[in-house]
Amino acid sequence: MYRYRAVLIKQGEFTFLSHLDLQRTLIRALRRAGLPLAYSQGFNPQPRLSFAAPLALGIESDGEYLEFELTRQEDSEELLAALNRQLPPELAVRSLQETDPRAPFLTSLVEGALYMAVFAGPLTGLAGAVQALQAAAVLEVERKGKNASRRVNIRPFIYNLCLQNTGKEGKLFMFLATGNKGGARPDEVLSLLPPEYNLKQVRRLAVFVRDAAGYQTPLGETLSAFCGCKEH
Amino acid sequence: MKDISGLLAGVQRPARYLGREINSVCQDPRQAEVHLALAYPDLYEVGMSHLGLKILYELANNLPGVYAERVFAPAADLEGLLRERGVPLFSLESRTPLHRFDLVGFTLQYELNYTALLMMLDCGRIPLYSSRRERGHPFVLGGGPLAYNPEPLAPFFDLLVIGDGEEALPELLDLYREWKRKGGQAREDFLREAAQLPGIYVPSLYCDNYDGEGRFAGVEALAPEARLPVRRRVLRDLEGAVFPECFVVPYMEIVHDRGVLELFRGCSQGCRFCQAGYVYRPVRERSVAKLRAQAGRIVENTGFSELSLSSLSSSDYPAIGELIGTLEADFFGRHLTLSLPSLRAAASAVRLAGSLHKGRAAGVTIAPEAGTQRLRDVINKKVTEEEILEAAAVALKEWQSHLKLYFMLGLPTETMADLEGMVELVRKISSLGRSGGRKKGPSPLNVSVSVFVPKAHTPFQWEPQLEMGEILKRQDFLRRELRRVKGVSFSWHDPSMSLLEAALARGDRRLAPVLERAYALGSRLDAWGDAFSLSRWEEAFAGEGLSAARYACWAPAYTDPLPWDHIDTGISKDYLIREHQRALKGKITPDCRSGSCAGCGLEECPLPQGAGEGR
Ligand code: SF4
Repeated sequence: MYRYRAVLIKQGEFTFLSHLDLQRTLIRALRRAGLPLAYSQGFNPQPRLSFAAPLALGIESDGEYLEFELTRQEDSEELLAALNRQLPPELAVRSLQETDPRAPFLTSLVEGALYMAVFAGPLTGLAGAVQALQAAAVLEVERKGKNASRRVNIRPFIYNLCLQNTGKEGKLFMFLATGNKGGARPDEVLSLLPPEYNLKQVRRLAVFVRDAAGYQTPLGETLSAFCGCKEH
Repeated sequence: MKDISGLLAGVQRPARYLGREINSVCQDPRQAEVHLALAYPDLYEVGMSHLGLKILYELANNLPGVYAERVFAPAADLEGLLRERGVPLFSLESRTPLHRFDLVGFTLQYELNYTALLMMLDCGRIPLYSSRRERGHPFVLGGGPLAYNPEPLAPFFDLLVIGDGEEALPELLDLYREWKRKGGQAREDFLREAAQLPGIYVPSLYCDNYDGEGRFAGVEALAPEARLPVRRRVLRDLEGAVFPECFVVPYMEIVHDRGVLELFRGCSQGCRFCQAGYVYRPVRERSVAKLRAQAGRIVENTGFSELSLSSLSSSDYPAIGELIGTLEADFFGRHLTLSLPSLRAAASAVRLAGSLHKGRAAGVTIAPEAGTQRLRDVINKKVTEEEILEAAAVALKEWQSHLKLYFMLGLPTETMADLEGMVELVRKISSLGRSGGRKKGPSPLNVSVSVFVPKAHTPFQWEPQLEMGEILKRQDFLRRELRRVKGVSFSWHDPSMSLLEAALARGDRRLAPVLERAYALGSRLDAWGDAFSLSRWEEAFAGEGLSAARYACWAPAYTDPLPWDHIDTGISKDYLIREHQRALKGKITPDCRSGSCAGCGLEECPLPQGAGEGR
């Protein structure tokens, strides 16, 4: 068994594809490319391919990470090219590498996600508002459940916020917890800012796992590769 | 191409409207001489599952100068947004508003989609009635099985294609191109020429007559070009016919999310209630070699993990064993599941289907349709109780599979004894399951009962639907009795939907304004039971001084003119009468493939037509 990790972009109207749609699309792309996808054992064999950290519909991303297994070893560069021939440019594979097939699955490892929100000026007071969020001990948001909604404190899920202000434009980098130990969504954090700022776009840049060396993406990139903020 | 993110952000399941799938045909519509919308009046996930539409898409896009795009019904949320923002309904590929196409062709598959069809025209800014369309409006076409009784829809259509689209559509599009080249002035000119093509029905060139008591009295031709009757087109050579090998690959999960092979068209069984069994005659088969080549290319071009061996009764394909063996060898180790969607209730067929799933509990469906041998003989369902029990035993014991049994309630001549027989049969089957020692879980046996709907061009076209009160009484009986059988779950098709289906299936032209009223009252995708309201429909019928129940329960005499008499399927009325009489006497008619032709009169039939039983 040969395991590969890859990262895809998701742009424009293709942000309206769900997690499962994306999964189906990649499985079919691999099959069309004639690549021997590995399947699980048992009564109902399933292709060994999964995406980490689902993203809400409508959000663009540079960081949709997936993992899959082939029964034959393939050259990473050729594999990347073969996949991109089968995918629309809005879902292009950005990078791909072979990884250890004995490692735990990515889906269980991802702990954080980095988002970027872009605001168009004027930005007066935004820095202060962001600081106030950082300083708060408790930040409650409303979450809709099946029947009732409840209030959740998302402060523990906000690892860091940092604002880069160019005067014309403000980029707010949000490093948030995600995964099975709980997390916060970018829109939840943004809902805590005063409403007067003109939000142009929200984008997911990457997701992160943690090891002894700190946070890095499943393909080994560090946080600083994405935002240059000092204090994550 | 216009960005539609703003619309997509406001709806459930936006992938329905995204388009841009792998293998969809993307062109500049301005370059196309003939721009055709292939419309399906239901949601994306249903329309995309329909084989006929895929065939037409392939066919039309390979004709010179023709560009065909798809358009499906918007769900209520998108319909609301389109109206609110003043955006007309648009095609999936180039997002062209419907009213800007040259022709819009609807597939007519299910009566309960009719109001969705009106909604699509309306949201696409095309006048509902053909009489109100002018120069610059598209021509609206229809085709598919329901075009065999087109009258309830007649005033909404410029043209209807009767029979296999592979035959008539290319000729029609050629004619359109010529008319357009000559300036495309008077719509009437094109329609009168089209009416002379075999298999084309132009409703505006005919009128419907009624007698003093409001009884239907026949359709009359109003122009010399109008053929009477309109003879259905029959594709003779399925082997050489166009077949899609580059299916559009959907992003979202659709109802039948898989590749499809068409093993044969038509059906040799001759079940007397089944319209498809008559209007798709004769049986035309594809060879194993052809199917094998198509399978390879479909899987390669789409990446689907499932391939369905489809037809009206796939286990009747003479070389089914050979086909499955060949495909299994071809795709060995490639994780491709083959499926057999329509099975005869016979052990051999169930064994075959089960073998495809390697013992995995995939679920097997068999359709005894009626509970007693007497009633099965009436409907010409040639399967014995022994065969049913044997087939069920294979499913439940050999394959440890779930088993779904289909029955119909209210079949002609049905009595309480037949329903008791149904309960008894279910009881016998359920005891098979128990002795099989199945582990705990959901009940392995599901009994699904629908209501008989008499259909045009079948021997039961002279039969009434059972009256509603009686349906409910019999349904209660079944519910009560089946509850007492262990390990059986019972599902029921809403009888009020069947009533409407029956009213529309044998309706006449007076139903067009009823449809318009139902649409105005809010009826849309009625096939999705959740939004269905019979009272709304009753109001619409009453508004025209008509009654749905009267249409559904109509029992015409053999001599009465029928609203679909002017549509000639090639099967003689004498034969249908003979079959009806044999039904009432409980006499079966042999399978056309058995070498015994019952003489239905179809000229195009390639099967040996000696003197068979039933002549
Ligand atoms: S002509 Fe005879 S064999 Fe052919 S479809 Fe009709 S009844 Fe069947």
